[in-house]
Formats: sequence, structure tokens, C-alpha cells
Amino acid sequence: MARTLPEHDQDRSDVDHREEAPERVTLPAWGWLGLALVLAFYLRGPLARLLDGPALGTWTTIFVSISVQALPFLVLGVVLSGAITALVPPGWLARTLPQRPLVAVPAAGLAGVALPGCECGAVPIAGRLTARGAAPAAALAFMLAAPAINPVVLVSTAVAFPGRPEMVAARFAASLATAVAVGLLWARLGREDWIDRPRHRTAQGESHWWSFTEVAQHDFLHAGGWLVLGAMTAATLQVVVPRSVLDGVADNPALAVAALAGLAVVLAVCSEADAFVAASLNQFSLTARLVFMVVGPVVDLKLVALQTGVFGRRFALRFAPLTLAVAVFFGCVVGWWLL
Amino acid sequence: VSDRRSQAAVLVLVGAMALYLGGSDAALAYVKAGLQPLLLASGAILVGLAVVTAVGHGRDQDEHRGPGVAWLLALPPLALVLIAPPALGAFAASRQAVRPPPTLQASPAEPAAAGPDSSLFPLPLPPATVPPCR
Repeated sequence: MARTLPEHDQDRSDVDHREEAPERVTLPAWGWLGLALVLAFYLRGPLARLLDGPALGTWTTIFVSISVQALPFLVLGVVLSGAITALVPPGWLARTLPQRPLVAVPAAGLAGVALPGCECGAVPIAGRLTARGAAPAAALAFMLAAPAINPVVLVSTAVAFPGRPEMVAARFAASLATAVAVGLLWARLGREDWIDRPRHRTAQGESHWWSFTEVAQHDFLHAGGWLVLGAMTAATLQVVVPRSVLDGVADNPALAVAALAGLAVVLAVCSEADAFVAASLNQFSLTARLVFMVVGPVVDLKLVALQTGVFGRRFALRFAPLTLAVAVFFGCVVGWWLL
Repeated sequence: VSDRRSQAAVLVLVGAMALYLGGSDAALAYVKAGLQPLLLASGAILVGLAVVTAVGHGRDQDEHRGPGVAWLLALPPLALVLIAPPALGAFAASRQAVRPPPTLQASPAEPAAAGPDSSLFPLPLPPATVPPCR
């Protein structure tokens, strides 16, 4: 206690309560991480007896498996989105898009194919597009399409569902239809004053290289954290929830679709990784899992928070239910048609 | 993840895990063999990003506060260190009966060539009979 430096006076009361060594309080976060790793390494012998058990082993295998399989696609996605942010001039897409909504919305949806990135990156891009004068409906269609139908996502879907190319096609069709339909609906029904004028934020003076590393690093940490949360939930569902309950939900088509749509909203798994989570939910029908992959990239808790930040609350409150309904609808229709 | 060093630490940890799994047979419990080169590449990219993050800029601005959810990224490496190696060892035989659900056909009991612990145990480890993950 005596060693606590004067500038840590504020901390002292906390320290006194906990009766811990002051060094612990001042240990930086990355130090804790290293400490945890070293401890884990040395304690794994004694802990093996504590942590032993088939359930935990199975849980770990599913958890690590989902995380690790999705990892390369996540890295590829953040590298590409970083490169695009760094190299493509911000006004380019806004200038390129046509002005009439009927043409601009499908064009913007298709433009999503060319711009890989996960949904967390697409929201600020859409904000930048509207700030630069693109029609809001087109920017929104782009925002919904880009994270769902870009090549990285489609390849990861193909890897997660080997031998089922129709899954990739179904995902592409349902997601693009959702994006275009929501965009057109918004062009028809939406009002200008529902959207807050997005704050204009540019990173001027940053070199290409720095903005690349910033975007790649930030996107990876963000999306990776959510991926881990999704993997943990999927593993827990498989291990903890009784098989009979899971099968019961999965056997009822309507209930299965509703359950996985709700799961997609809550889990907020990045679109580049969600196919692996979906593939692990093998009790559910392919259509239900398709709904999971169509809903996930367009509406989830993290996205609603992001959209509220970029476009305002009035927008997010209307946009999220609309998107969810349209996504579930097209997921079911395309699933019934193709799968 | 509050400062640059912590962000770099998380990136290094995940990158190291990817490099380790990309280069060792232990990964075959979790991923298909075809994915291993991709894991190696992404591990290298992550470690590179970590280096740039740690040494880069030199100005530790508040606006670079990372998302708190990123701490979760430390869990898969920790789980690998903590839980997977014991699965290779003494209890392997008793784990034989336990299989994860069919899609993820990886069994904690059967990574083909075991890690460093395997030589310590006289019990012959079962060969990997199940191809990982469909």
C-alpha cells in the first residue's frame, strides 16, 4: 500500500477495499492476458482433473472448431475491407450510382458483390454514402447486400456446407432479394426526416497504409469478439440443451425458422463467419439455417446499435423490424424453392 | 481492449494460435487439412497487424479505444491451452465413447499425432478414424 504512487490517490480507496497488492491494480490489460496464458499453461495439469468430463471436452471441440474454421475468412474479409477503405476514394460509389431509386437500388445491391467486408464495416460506409449525396434507399440496399453476398462470404458458405452448392446460391438469392426489396420499400415509404444526417467523418492526413491497418485491426477485433460469442453459444446449445428439446424445436418448421431467426438477431455473428455457426446447428432444416444466414448479416443487436449511432434512433426503430420481416420472408421463400 | 498494446496482445495470441494450428496435426481435430495453409497465412497476417499496432503511430490516442468484446478473442487460445491437451492424455481411452454431434466430426480424443504430452503416456493413442468436420 505504501508503494502506491501519489498520482494514484483515486485508486487507493479501491485498493484498500480489496486488500490486494497495488501492483495488481496497475498491471495493464495486456499484462493480465499474458498472466492468464502463463497460468493456464502451468495449471493445465492440475486443472485437467477438474476440467475433465465429456461435456466440457465436446464443448471445447465445437467452440474451438467454429472459431478456428471461420478465422481465415474473417482475416481475408478485414484485409479486403481495409484495402478498400484505403484505396477506393470515398466519393467514388456515390458518384457512380444512378440517381433514380428504381435503378439505383438494384445497382447498389449488386455493387455489394464487389465490396467485401462484414456488416460492421458496411454501416459506416452507407453513412458515408448518404453524407455524400447518394439516395438513402440505395445506400441502405448497399448496406444490406454488401456483407451478405460478397465473395468472401460466399466462399466461406461453400466451405461450411461442403457438397451443397445450392446453399450458396440460395444465400445469394435470398440476401440480394432482401436488400433490394428493403431498399425499394424504403424509397417508397421512407421519409427524409427519419434519417439523421450522418456525421461526416473523414480520416484526412492519414496515409493509405495507416488507414488500412487501422480498419483491418479494428474490424478484426470487433468481428472476432462477436464470432467467439457466437461459437460459445452454438457449442452451449449443442452440449447443454437436451437433445429432445433441440429436436422438438427443429422438427417444427415454423418454430425452427423463428428460433434461428431470433438466434441470428441475438448472436450478432459476423457474416464471414456465420456459415460455420449455421453448419454446426445440424438438427435444423436447411431452410431454417438459410434464414439464420440471411437474417444475421442484415439485422442483429450489434447492427441496430451501429445503425442507431450512424443514422439515429428514429431510423433504427423502423428499419430493424422491416428488415427482419423481409429477410425471414425471402429466406423461407428461397429455401422452399431451392433447398 | 483499452490500449494499443492490449490490442496487439490479443492479435498476437490469436495469430499464434492460427500459426500453431496451421502447422501441427493437432489442428486436425478442429479443421480440415485443406484449411491449414489458410490458417498459416491468416496467422502471419494477424501477427503482422499486431506488430504494426504495437509499434505504429506512436501516438496513443483515446479514439483508438478498441471494442470490449474483443477480449473474447483470447478465449479460443486459452481453451486450447487449458482443455485440449488433457484430452490427448490419460483419459483418452475413456473418452472414446463420447462423440460430438455428427456435423463437427471431430473428437477430442483423437487428434492423430498427439502433442508433446503423448510420449508421456504408455497407452497407445487411437488413430484418427474420423475425418474432421465432414
